[in-house]
This record gives sequence, structure tokens and C-alpha cells, in this order.
Amino acid sequence: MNQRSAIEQVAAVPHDDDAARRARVRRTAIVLGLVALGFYLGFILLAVMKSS
Amino acid sequence: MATTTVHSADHDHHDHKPRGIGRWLYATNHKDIGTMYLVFACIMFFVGGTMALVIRAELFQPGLQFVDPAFFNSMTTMHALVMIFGAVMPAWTGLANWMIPMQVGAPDMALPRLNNFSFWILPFAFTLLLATLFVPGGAPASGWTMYPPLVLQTGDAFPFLIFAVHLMGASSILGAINVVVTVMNMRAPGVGLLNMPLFVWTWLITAYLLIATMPVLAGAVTMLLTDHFFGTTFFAASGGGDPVMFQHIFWFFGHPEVYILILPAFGIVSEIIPTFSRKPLFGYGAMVYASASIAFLSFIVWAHHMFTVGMPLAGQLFFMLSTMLIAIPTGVKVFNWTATMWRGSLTFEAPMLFALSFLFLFTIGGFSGLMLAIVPADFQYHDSYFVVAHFHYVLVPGAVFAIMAAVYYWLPKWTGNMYDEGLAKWHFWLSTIGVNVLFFPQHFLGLAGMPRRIPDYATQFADWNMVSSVGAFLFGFSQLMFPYIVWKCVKGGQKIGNRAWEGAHGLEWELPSPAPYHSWDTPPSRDVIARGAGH
Repeated sequence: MNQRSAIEQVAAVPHDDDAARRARVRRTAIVLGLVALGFYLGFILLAVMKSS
Repeated sequence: MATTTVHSADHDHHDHKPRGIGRWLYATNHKDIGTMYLVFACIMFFVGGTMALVIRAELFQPGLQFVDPAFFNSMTTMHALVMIFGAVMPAWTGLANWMIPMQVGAPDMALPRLNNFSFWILPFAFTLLLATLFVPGGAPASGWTMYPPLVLQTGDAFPFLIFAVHLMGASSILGAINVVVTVMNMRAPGVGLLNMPLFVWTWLITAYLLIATMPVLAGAVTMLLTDHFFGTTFFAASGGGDPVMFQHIFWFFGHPEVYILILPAFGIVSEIIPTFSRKPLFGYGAMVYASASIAFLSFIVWAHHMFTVGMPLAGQLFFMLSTMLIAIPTGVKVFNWTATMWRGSLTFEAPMLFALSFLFLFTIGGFSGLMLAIVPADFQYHDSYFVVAHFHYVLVPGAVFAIMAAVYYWLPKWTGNMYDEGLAKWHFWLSTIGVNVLFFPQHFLGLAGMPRRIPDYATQFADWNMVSSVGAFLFGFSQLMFPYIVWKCVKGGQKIGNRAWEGAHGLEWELPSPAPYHSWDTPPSRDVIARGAGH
């Protein structure tokens, strides 16, 4: 992608307000934390199933 | 320029810092936390380096000279754990903390208190780990891979090791979540995904790798803990478990871990080579896709570490060929860096020298990796010094040199002062000569059949071991120059303007030097972003 056009394209997107951004930050962090927890428990579960 | 001036004047007005120890204990400023990570990494680099020198001192001659075999095994184990989890990973997180908000036009990391927490876990984790040197039974000695059943023979150090690894993992996962959340949500308007600096891109990909793989390591060591203390038999054949399953789980984490250590280095080199070639990076998009491809492939190659354990022919072929595929995106990167320099107006300041050394020496490590990927050849090389030479070429002139390049590159921005270029060049040449004298002969030792992780060896290996140990001491002691050069630069030096390097582009160079304590409180304007991108 042409870098200049990328800048112009994204620059046209309006600023979202702080509350919306904070909610998005919290949501992304929780989802990523759950993904990490999923990998942790998933691999233990896999080992339990293989051992039994 | 007007926007920048207004911005910096605004900062002068309220650029106050907290004072005393509280500034560091309760730090939420990304620059303070970045500094703490970098200082911590530097301390751990010297702790791990001292352990490496104990190893090389013992191996200077055949026979047992200085340490007993059990302590030698502890040194190889602790050296690896300290260098990987204590030096290289925190150094990358420190650089990410310092640079990502400045490069994407954000005022700070998205989750500053989480950032503080993820740093302060680390000193506790490494206090636990290093305390094992003083507990009955000695420090862990099973290798950083912690294979059962050997690791289950660890003495009182075992729970310390498991808890320390859990803490390191938690710290890395929290740091990675912060990076992803920052990059996805805090970019200034106008900083699109496909015009972010390569360092931000490679760190974003690294963060996803961390989130996916560190919990897998945590799961594996949790199961070791329950096998040891609670009577489970996940990895004990006597109870129906499978020790090889640990190896599969460990390497599902362990191979992406290699890319966690090296991908940010690709980002750094992709920043430095264009700057000192005074040309834009050749093939920006291809570099992004190559990084993502490497990350994806890193998940499907893990069993190449286990060819000698035994697996079906189809498995051997799959893991051999998938490993070789990684050479394609890596080759794209090497050729793009070379093409960036082609007909550029090159100068050779310390960051560029370290980046060039990275380019040549990492490629050597990459090629020896390809040799190890060939199954029948791997049966010969496995667990030999050839493997030690291979991964040290990837991690020392690869990851460590890139960290040094990054520090020299951004130090003027952090401090407002230029470092001592003459001393930095001495540091570079001694490091480059030292690292090659140290690790290149280890290829010969491995090909001649010297096994790794042994304190004594047959006399036929004496000459190259002696050369390697001389290189180790040269490399090790020359690293003392690094903190001195950094300290000298922090204390003073030639003042520099916003843009320390003539060819540098990026939002960080639009900020004053030293970078104000609070930067981009007001997002950069479209003009500033365009100027930062070199338009």
C-alpha cells in the first residue's frame, strides 16, 4: 500500500472519545487475557486427556 | 515544524517528574518503566555472562579445573534461563516501552499500572531463581528445557524454579497484552497499520506469539509441579504418563520463543539500515508479511528439536520441510535489507555497524539452522557443540547485537546527548571479533563430535576449546564498555537536535531530544506524521 495514501485515508477517520477508547482498551485486554488462559488450560486439558 | 515547537513548548510547561524512589516503585510512565526494564536486562546480561565465563573457564582445558560437574550443569542451565528470560526478553520489553508510544503517537502505554506490575514481577522472579544457587541440592541443573524425569531430580531448588518460571511467564504475558492493546487502540489518527514503523510491527507480532506460547510453558511447568508434589503422572511412564509429551509441549512454546527473541531484532535492523543508507526501506509490505509468515511457521516446526527422539517418517519429513520453509521469508528480509543499502549513501556509525554485523552473523546462524533441519544430518549434529554454535550465532550477534544497535540508535533521543562514537566503535569491533572467536570454532567442535553440556572432554577437542574460551573472555570483558558508554552519554555529551541522524524517519524524531517526560499528550498532526514518514 502506498504509505501517503494510507496516512490520508486513516487521517480522515474521526477521533473517538476517551470513554469509547477506554472501553475498547479494556475489551481487548480481557479478550487477550482469556486467550492466554485458554492456551494454559487447553494444554493441561490435552495432557490430562492423553494421560487418561 | 511549527506543530513540533508548540508541542515541545507545551511539554516544557508541565514536564514534571515524580521524585525519589517512588518515581520508580510506582512508575506508570512508559519511559521510566522502559528504563527499568533496560537496566534490569543489563544487570542480568552481566549475571548470565559471568555464568558463561565460568563455563568457558572450565572448558579452557580438558579435565576438571575449577568447578565440579554438578555445578557446571547448574551454570549451563542458569546461564540460559537468565539470558533468555532475564536479559534478552526484558531488553526488548524495555525498548518497546520506550519506543512504541513515541512511534505510534500515543501519550503512554494503554495500561500503565499493568505495565508497572509486569516489570516489578521480574526482580522477584529472578531473586527466586538466583536464590537456588544457595539452597541444598544446588541450582537447577537439568538444562533450560527442564526435561523430565531429569528435572524431577532437582533438590530443594525445584519449587523455586517452577515458581520463577511462572512469574516470568506472567510478566511476559502482561507486557505482551499491553503492547497489543497499545498498538491496536492508541495509535494517533493518521498512523495506519501499514505505515507503522517496522519495530512496532515486529513487536506486535512478537506480542501475539508471547500470548499464545508463554501459557503453554506455564502449563508444562504446572504439570511438572503436580508430578513432583501431588502424585500425578503426566510425564512419568511408570504411571501411564509420557515424558516425550513434555518435549512436545515444551517445544511448542520453545520454537516460537526463538522468534520472540529475534523478531524485534528484525524490526530494529529495518529501522537502522534505511537511516544509515539514507534510503527508504526496500519492500516495506513484504517485510511485514515476511514477519507474520515467520511467526506463523514458528508454530508448526517444533518437533525439529526432537528428531532423535523418534517419530514416523511422515513426521520427520513434515517438520524438516516446514522448517526449511522459514528460510523463504527470512531470505526476503535479508535480501530487502541488502537492497535497501544498494546505491545508498552509507555511513558506518555504531548502530549501523552492529546492524551490519547482525546481517552477516545472523545469516550464518540461519544457515547452520538449515543444516540442522535436515533429518539425517541432525542425527549427527544433535546435542553437539554445532547446535551450541548455531543458536549462539542467532542469539548473540543476532538478538544481543540488535539490542546494542537499538540502544546506540535511540540513546541520543533518550538523553539529548550523543554517545562517544569512538568508544562505541571500539565496543563494536571487540564484540564482533570476540563473538566470532568464541562461537565459530564451536562449529568445528560439534562436527568433530564434542557433545554439549559436558564439563570435561577428550583431548582431541582441546585446541578449539582454548580458542573459544579466549574469545569468550575477550567478548565478555569488552561488554563492560557498554554500560560505561551509556553512563557517559547520560551524564553529558554533544547536544543533538530533534533528529539525531540525518537519514532518520519516524515520529520519535519529531519530538525534542531528550524526549520529554510526557510526549504526544496531543496526538501529532497529519503534517507531523507525514514529515515523520519522510514525505
